[in-house]
Amino acid sequence: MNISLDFYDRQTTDLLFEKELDPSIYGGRIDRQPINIGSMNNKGIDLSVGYRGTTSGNLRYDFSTTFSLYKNKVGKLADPFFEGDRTRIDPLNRSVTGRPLSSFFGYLLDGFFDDDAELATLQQGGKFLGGWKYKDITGPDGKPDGRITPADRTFMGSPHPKFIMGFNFNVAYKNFDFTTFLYLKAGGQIANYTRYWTDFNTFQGNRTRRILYNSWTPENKNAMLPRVTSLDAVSGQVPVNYYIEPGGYLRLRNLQLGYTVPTRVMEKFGIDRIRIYAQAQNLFTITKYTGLDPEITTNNTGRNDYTRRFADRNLGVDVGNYPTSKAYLFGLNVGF
Amino acid sequence: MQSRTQYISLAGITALLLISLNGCKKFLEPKPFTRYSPEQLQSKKGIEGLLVGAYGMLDGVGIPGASNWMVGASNWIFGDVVSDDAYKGTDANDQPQMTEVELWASQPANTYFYYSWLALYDGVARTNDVIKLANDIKDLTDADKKDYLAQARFLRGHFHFDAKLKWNKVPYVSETTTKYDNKADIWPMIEADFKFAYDNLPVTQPLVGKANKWAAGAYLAKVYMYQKKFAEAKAIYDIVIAQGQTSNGRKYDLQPEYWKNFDVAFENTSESVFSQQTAASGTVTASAEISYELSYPYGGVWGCCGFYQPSQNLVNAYKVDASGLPFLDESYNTTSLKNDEGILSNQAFTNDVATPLDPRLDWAVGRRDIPYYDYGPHPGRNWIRDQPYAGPYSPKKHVTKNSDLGNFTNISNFRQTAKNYNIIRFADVLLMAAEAEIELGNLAKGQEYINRVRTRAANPAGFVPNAPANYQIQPYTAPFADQATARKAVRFERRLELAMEGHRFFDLVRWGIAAETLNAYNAVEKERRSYKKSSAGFTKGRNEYYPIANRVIEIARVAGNTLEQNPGY
Repeated sequence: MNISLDFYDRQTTDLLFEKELDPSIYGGRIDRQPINIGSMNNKGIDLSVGYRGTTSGNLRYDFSTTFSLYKNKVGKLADPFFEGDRTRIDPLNRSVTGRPLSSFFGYLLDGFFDDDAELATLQQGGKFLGGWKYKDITGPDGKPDGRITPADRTFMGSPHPKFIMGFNFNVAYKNFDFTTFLYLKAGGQIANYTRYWTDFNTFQGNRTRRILYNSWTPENKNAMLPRVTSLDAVSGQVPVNYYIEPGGYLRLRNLQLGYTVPTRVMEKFGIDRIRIYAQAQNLFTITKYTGLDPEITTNNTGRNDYTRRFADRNLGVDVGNYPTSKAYLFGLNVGF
Repeated sequence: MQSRTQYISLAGITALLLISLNGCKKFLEPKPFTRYSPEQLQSKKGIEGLLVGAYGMLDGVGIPGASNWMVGASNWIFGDVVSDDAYKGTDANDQPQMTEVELWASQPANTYFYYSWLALYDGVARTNDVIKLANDIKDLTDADKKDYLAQARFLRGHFHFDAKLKWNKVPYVSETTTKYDNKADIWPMIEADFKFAYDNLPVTQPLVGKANKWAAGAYLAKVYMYQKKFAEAKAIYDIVIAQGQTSNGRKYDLQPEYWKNFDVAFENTSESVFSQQTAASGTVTASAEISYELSYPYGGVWGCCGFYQPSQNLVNAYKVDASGLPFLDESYNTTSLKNDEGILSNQAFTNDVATPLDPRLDWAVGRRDIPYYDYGPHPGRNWIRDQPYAGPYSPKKHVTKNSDLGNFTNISNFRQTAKNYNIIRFADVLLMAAEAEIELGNLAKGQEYINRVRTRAANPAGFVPNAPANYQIQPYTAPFADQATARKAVRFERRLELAMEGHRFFDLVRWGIAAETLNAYNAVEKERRSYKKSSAGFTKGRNEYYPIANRVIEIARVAGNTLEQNPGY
């Protein structure tokens, strides 16, 4: 049995941060100045428990689990905030002092414009019957003002998980062996940018069934997506919390069953060892995430300027990377 | 790779030296790097390079993160897509930030305004560098120094002018500015820059792209026009029109054929007052014109991207009456000129060859079966990305003709071209002068200028050859009935002559008729292009100017400067 438990509270200071010089004086093309000003705090726990044992009757097993949890908080910045890269819509990530790095930022949905009366009450660009209403959070006086402006955007989630766990379990009985690895990511959200292409009136291409069955109609006002109309030039065109989905998942990453052929049988053929096995990778995933794969690799999503792409500014944005594949393997190990 | 490695090691050694000499703290002071230090540029060659760099910002290219269409002098989005001349084009939701501009729903978070601001003030910063340096170089002759200062101030005037048109409330940044705000009107400073340039620039320049005295005069007069100082404007126009010449010494005149303004072979000739110079050939493309990169027919040799489609309203405006004159009473727009909407390229279509049309239509607009330069007849729908969305027309003036592909474009991307953008051409000067005369009550003189432009347009050698269209155009023969009629005529003429050249919206705002014109336009146009129904219309007192990007305001605030947002945003 072994247990290891680490607590940490790590304050990172003097992080290189690219300060933007005032473009009105210095111009916009000047390279940003990296200065040692940023700070960040990470608090966390790492726990691992392992147990190895045998029983009478040739059963050997070991079991281990890891648990890790962290809280990230951005400290000092030179600019008021920094953002992720623009895709075809405004950046989904924004980092500000006091919040986790690359939190999601945008408009919150507040139902639909169900009738003309509702259309008349809220001032919102490109509004239409059956379209999404955004939540009116504030106005020039710090109170909701009946008008949707960029000031009504707010933080709508975080890509950082609550905790992650891994489970390893190995058993061997006589000539049989069995290995499994299970991975759990709890909490944390994903900005599913692929919905830009599949759920809205964007470029020609395939659409999801959500559009067909879950769009607003006069008969179905309790819908997920706005009314389908070729006039719609606004839905999904700015970061909204429709893009933000639960990102937790449980995945059986590996499952393997092996059988080693008894030595005495093989000796006469001059073979030391033969093991045959069957393996399944990523056999199942339990998740509420509707994209292709919750195990996203954060890419540099920026357009245009290929020198200024930073993965950690774009945490948790699914731009439609190739998903992890499910694989079944059958193998034979032969030793002479 | 070899030289790059050497570069890096050299940079490394230099960095080490600097650290050991100055200590870490000083080395990390946020002074601009990737720039020459002023000491390195203390020579005529140095200041020349810096000045060329300032001209280089006319196209706005090179701002990190910016797209080329958001910046640059051509202003096809900020001057035309927002006006009654053009739609955004392509398909719905391609570049939603541009749709915001088109539908007068611009928000301060729209990055178009952020990058456009960065590009213009980068231009300002570069001109200020030239001015600072000109005062420091010892072996510069007085004549040279005057020339550099005057060119730099010309360009500084240009960048501020463009910013002033877009945002109105903008700061003026000179070579001595350290703190700024946008409370004061900067017209006097813009005027002073152009006045200095006009008084000090030479008549000709060794490089054709450089501004000369007459370009400065024309620009100064334009600045007067924007302030309604018609008498001052007229005084300069009188001299510029009589004596002006291009910086390569050609007397200002209209080119005999209208189309020559849109052909690479006739650039920097008599009509070119001040242009953004471009060059592209084969694989040499660093100075290509790329602000229009999205604005090509969606198909053909270009492949992409179908933006900047002329509006039906613009096309209709080219209808003329039996005497070859435009319909100044707006009746042109009650019916639409026949077009191929809803008809596939392989289905039969016949153009209306009876309705008399101003021949300039078919240089400003690409439409079905009319020869599109030397590409043959425009095929209609096959060149349009989404006809039900944005109509049947293609832009044309900035497109390079077939026989120039590769020679005057990037060999592998025909949307990067060597076609100059005319910031001011002589027809613009004549029509501005006509306007000044008419505002001053000199209707006959105004008509004379207008007729000069119309007579050139009426030269049959300037018509699109073999077009299935009935071209008719005549100069005004009867004197204008009154000032109001004359005003309508000159404004209409400006639209017809300069359509799709990035001026329309700024003209409407200057005339104070943007709200009524554009709301009337939208009332009809939304029945033609249904997506326009989602526009809340043009709000008078707000939409004349764009919002200042909130990011610019934020960064200014951090630096201790105050920028007030424009009203209504």
